[in-house]
Amino acid sequence: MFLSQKATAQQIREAQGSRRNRQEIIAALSHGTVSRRELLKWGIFSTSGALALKNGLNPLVGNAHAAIPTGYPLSPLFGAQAFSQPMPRFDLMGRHPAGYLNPRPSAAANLTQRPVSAALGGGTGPIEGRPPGDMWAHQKFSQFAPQVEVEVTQQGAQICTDYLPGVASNQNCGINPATPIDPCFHTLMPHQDVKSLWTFGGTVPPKLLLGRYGEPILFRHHNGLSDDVTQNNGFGRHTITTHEHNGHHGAENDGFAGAFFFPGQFYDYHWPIVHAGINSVNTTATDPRCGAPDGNGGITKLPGDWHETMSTHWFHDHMFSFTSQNVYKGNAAMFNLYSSLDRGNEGINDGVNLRLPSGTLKDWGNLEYDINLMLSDKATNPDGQLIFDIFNFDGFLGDIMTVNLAYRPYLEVERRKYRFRILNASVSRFFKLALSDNKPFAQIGNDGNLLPRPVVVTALDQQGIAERYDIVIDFTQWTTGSKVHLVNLAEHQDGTRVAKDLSVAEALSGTSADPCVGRVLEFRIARDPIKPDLSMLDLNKDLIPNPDLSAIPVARERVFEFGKGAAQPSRSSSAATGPWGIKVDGGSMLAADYGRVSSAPRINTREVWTLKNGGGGWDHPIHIHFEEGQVLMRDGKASNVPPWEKGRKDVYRLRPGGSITITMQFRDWGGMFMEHCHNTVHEDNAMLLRWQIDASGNAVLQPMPTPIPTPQGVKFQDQT
Amino acid sequence: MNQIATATPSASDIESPRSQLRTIFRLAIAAAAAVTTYSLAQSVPGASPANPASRGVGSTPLNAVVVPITDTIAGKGENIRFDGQANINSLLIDDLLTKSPRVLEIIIDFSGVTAIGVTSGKRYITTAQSILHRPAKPFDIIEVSFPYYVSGDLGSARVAMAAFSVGLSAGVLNITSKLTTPA
Repeated sequence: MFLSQKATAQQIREAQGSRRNRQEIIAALSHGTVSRRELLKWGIFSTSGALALKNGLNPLVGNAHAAIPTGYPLSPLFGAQAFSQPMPRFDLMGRHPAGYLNPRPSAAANLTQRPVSAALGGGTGPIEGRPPGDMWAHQKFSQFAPQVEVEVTQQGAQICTDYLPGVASNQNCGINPATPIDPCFHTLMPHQDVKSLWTFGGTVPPKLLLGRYGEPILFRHHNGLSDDVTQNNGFGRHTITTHEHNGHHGAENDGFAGAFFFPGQFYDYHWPIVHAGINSVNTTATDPRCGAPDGNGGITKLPGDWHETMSTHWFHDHMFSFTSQNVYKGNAAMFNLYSSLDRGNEGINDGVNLRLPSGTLKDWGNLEYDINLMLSDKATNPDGQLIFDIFNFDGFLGDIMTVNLAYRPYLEVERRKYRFRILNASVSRFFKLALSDNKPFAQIGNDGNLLPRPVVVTALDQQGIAERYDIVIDFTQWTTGSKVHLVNLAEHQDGTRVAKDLSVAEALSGTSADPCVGRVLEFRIARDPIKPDLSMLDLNKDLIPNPDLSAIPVARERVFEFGKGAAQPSRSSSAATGPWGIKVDGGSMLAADYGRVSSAPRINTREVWTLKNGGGGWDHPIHIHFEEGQVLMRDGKASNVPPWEKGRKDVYRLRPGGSITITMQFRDWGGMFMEHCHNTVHEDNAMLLRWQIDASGNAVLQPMPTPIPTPQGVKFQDQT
Repeated sequence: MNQIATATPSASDIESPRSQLRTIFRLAIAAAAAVTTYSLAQSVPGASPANPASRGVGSTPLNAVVVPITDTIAGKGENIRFDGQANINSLLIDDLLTKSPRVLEIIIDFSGVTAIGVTSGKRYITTAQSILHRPAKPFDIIEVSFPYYVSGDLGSARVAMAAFSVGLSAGVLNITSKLTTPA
């Protein structure tokens, strides 16, 4: 996969030459001067999903001077050593009271005109990129009027001068938040260029938003990227759309792949933050388990089903055909949701609060002992700038392992329990995590949801892209001054799947050719607890049981098969070209077209969906937007569902040659949503489909017109 | 072509300025011989809709294996005796398109194993499960650690290590194990 440290100078030169050739094509593609369709036609891409097997273009092809594949050149580390820098906590996004934003948010898109630059076609266009009209107006906007307003700009890399970690410096490895933070993965590595790294606010560490149920959020996202589509260092598209993964919101706020917006525009996302079942379960809001912290130690009771409470979300770009590149460039943040059950305050003992490790200083949302970890692999060119390679449709792998966008950092901890919310934010890489001494820990959450019960493990299951695993580690198992590492056991050879799950001993042996195997984060047990550990974790006690759906009839069963060899019958601009596709109920394997409605469950029904891997040579982490699902079966058997998948999920790893059967309800909101592989290279090429809920409840679906955004305004076309 | 003109059109609908693409054309010509086709991908056996919905394409279940476990290991404060059986289910997975090496998916369930403190008689809980993907080889040694614990207290959890000797011949698995305490 990557050249070894022992590679000859000849091998490195040839691999770099191949990379340069590929970068020219990638740049042309990202700048819009050539299309995927043309590259396929010319044979640059093979339709089976690989870069054409030709020396000088594909570095994995044997060359005239060597009988072995040359491999990719390793990214330079500029002398950076593993575990030589602290891991920064996330940077909190500002939460402002209602009334902060100007212009004021509105139910329908704000169509106030603004001049559009020549680079974007000139003329005028609306200041908000959301599709216009009632159909894309915020559903129930007045009922769930925003109480918190957030304003953030997507922009190129810059120095962070307003870091807000949400904890004191002694809980953040001594990092002084007043010290400017350079946009780089290690202090010895070069600053990322404004064209290389595109993050929320343009800065690192990555951003974290805190929210609580019953407190609707208006998230105004400005696009501050260059009007010039070529200002991207060769990859990434300057149009964006933001998916709150896996928000239970109306589709107009879902970050639909075709509802993207342009530089100079903003998009108002309305996240009501309600429990699913708000219109049908506990409608009088009498159950304190369905609630939120009230700010004063009590509970605000809310309508809905407390079994649907969610905890760990993230949000990221979902630009059609460019999600992988844009997320890789930094368009990814995390979002902690707080509730009466998951309060973020370990000290409140009211019989409802689960008292998970967090802290006690604030009523809710304490982060001292509740830490977000964003894992992602990166790669750079010889100058240290981020680089991306779209030529292998199997997936993209980096060789620089980062945690919270820091290269292999260390984290100081106290001898007590900690909660970690681990997000796999990679493009194509799966992880499998354990501790370097095999000591046990507990998995308490899977994706957005706390499990019905904690599961004690010595290693997590493979963690696919976009999956979140919440774990609790009890650091009283180690003595002060000792160190233990978080270790990645999942060895890749390419982006198709994990090639081999290693034992801890194998992963630590240094023999793996995968640069991201082994130690990724060093825990330094720095001291005894500053204050008593009040957190609770009873392994015999329920966390959040699943909702009981047994009395709800199954309205329909569907089968989705994910595979290669997709056809694209559509010539619409809403259609993508690529080898990956999805069969629905035994139909043809089709490549993505966000103008095509592939499934249409009716509102207030329950369905059973089987997601099937169409081949054994790869894995697919399949994400279904909007609704949480319960896993009923793996490979046709309920007994095959492991304990850590017995809660609710929103990303479903199919496993090589495997299938998974889930059940979901469709409630509360309507519109067009998506289902896709979260190996975002697969998603972009074109393993994605649109499904739709008709919130009117009509027996026959009335497909919504498909948005076709332009800087001058969004047009619509009929479904394809 | 797109019905609606956009200043920054999507990549799938753009006419390219040919003058900027000499390198691409050169490489395209050089690569032409290596191109595979959609029809090849679509003709792969097993990719038809006739496959059962309950299982993905390209996997073959192997024989279920029950591995007896009877070992005593050093625990914290006292030795721990393990008795029972690990239940192992597995799949042999073929890559139908690229013919890359076969993968063995192995699911190890330790819930049939009991653990008892030799001195105290204390019963420990052992409900762990591991799911591993390994290259399918005639012989492999797979080390799997698993937790055992006394009660609801995470702090009480300890670890045992099982080393499974896995033989795979003619689609039949043969597995033995040995328990140890992790170093």
